[in-house]
Amino acid sequence: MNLAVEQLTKRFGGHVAANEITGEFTKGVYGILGANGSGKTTLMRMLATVAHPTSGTISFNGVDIYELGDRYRDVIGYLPQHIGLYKNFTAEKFLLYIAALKGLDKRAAAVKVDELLELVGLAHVRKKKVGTFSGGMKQRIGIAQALLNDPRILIVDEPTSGLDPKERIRFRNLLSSISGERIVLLSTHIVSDIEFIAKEILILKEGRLIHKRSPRDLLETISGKVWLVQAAEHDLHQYQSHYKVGNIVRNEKGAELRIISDIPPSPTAKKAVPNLEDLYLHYFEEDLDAAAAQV
Amino acid sequence: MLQLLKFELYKIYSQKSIYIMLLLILAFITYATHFDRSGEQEYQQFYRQWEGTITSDKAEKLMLYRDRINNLMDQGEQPSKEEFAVYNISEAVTYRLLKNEGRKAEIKELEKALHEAVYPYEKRETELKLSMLSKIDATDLYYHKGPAIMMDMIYTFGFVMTAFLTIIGIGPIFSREYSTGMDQFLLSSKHGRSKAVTAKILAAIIFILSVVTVWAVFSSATAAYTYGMNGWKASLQSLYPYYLESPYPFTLGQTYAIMLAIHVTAAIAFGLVTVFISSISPKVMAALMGAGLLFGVPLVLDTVLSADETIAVKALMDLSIYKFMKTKEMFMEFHAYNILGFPVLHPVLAVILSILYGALFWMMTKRIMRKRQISL
Repeated sequence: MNLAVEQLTKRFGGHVAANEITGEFTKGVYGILGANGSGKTTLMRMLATVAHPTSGTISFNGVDIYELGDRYRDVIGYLPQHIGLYKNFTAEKFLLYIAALKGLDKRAAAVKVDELLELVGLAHVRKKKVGTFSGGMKQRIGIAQALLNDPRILIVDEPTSGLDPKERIRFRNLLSSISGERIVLLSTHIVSDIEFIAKEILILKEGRLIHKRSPRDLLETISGKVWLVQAAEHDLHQYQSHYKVGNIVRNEKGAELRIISDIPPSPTAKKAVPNLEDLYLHYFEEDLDAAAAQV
Repeated sequence: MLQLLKFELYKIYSQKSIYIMLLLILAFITYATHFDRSGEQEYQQFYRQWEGTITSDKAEKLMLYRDRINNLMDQGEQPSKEEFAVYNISEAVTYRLLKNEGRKAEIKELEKALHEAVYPYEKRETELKLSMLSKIDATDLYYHKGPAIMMDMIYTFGFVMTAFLTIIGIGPIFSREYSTGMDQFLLSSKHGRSKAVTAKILAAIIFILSVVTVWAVFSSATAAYTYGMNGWKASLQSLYPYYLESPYPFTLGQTYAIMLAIHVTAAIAFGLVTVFISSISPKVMAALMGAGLLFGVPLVLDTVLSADETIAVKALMDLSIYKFMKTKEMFMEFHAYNILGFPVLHPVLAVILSILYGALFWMMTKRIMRKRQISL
């Protein structure tokens, strides 16, 4: 099973949302990391065929997906970033409707809906209208609909944004449990979503694919660039204005700063083992505040 | 497909706005067409003795009756209910007889014109009109208010009701998917760009058929209750004043069935245009306004500006879905179109064009949805 994108580009007037992205995906979870506006959603939409590339190709097992048409859509499950639901549909009716859209026959749909409602923990509210659901419940119904056709390619776009920490952990575990024999493409700007489950991480910046590597290889790229510095309170501002500062942990001596820098920020700086948050900071410093607020 | 159709029907019929609109219009119709039922039944009894073929004996008696009532009124006396009813009958009979005579004269003229016709189309058109006029038998008289009011319903409240409910019920069929974000599920699913679109179109057609059924049943029930169901055998020419000079050799029963069939065909075409407008409208309001204008502009031109209509506007209006849905004017006079040298009657062309419009917009909607990208 192979999904490949080649020189994939999407333009909106003069704005290039996705710029010549090339890559190949096989079985496993792929985390697509990028700040807001980096082109993650555009890429996901093109992979889900709801947006068409301006140029470039997407192929599944060597065949262009636009040639495959409905046959390609038959093997994908898509959870968009912003889920639209029919507010007056019950959870069960909504899933049965999506099952009909995906071509499941009535009996198979009923069985699958039961199974997925159990899986996402919504069986007890199956007769409740989805308009009354919380954000987390909507996301769960969203992932359930994406899985209805037992997709070989699962495309989930920012699935945890807006969820509380408990819901996010639940979602991450759910995704991990269903990722088995599929290609899972998960876009996010929250690094903890993909830290432990991604086979590879794609880093998108301003529409371009900067890296597509395993988490370990990616972390290798910033090895020796992460520092821990003990700073006095009055020096904090100076460090912040000169370096990429991640975590700031207050202590009795002032604060311990986690800094990304090619050179030691101070003579007393100690090297630290990099993590994905450091990686994110390295590439998307400007989006740190937003990311930190959600981690 | 059946499952998808059921869901699409559920989505349409679960809109509260269609029931509110339906009730408002039905309430208005009930208010606007409220008649004195017992008075009508009495009137119908007066009519009974004069029903059937208008013989010269009946016509003579009616003329004498009318002269007597005229004398009474000249002397300042009020005629009784029965006298007033018979007076009306005599008036109707007078007109009918005059028109029958006029038709005979016209047939003679057409025979002459046919003989002198030079061009093939001219000949074919004259032959067609001659054939139609020759078949008219307008020599009978029936109390026909029940059928008349049902026909009236088609071109007054009925077609407006069909249009309004189609706009409200069908207008959001795609645009609501776009504005709620549901289009992402549609467009990324196996049948979302194909069978689901067909299901939506079929659901729209079923909805339109149900709307027409509702008002047709309502109108027949109220007509039957107030006026009874007599008079379906009466000739179309007995409907004064609109169809006195109609060239169509139909009974009221035949005309009603044909008018309703044309209305339904045109209404389905209107529904399919509405579906198409919805498929290209990112917002529900835009779809409602688009479909509203499609019906509203001809409505305004037809009612408010009818006197100022230019020939070009009238010609355009005559071929509009609005006029096809209304059906009324198509049967009032002889109007044939030259299609490849053959005369095609306005109602026939209405059906052909409605089918063509419907098919065209069906295909365009399918195409739009095959190519559709989500609104960003």
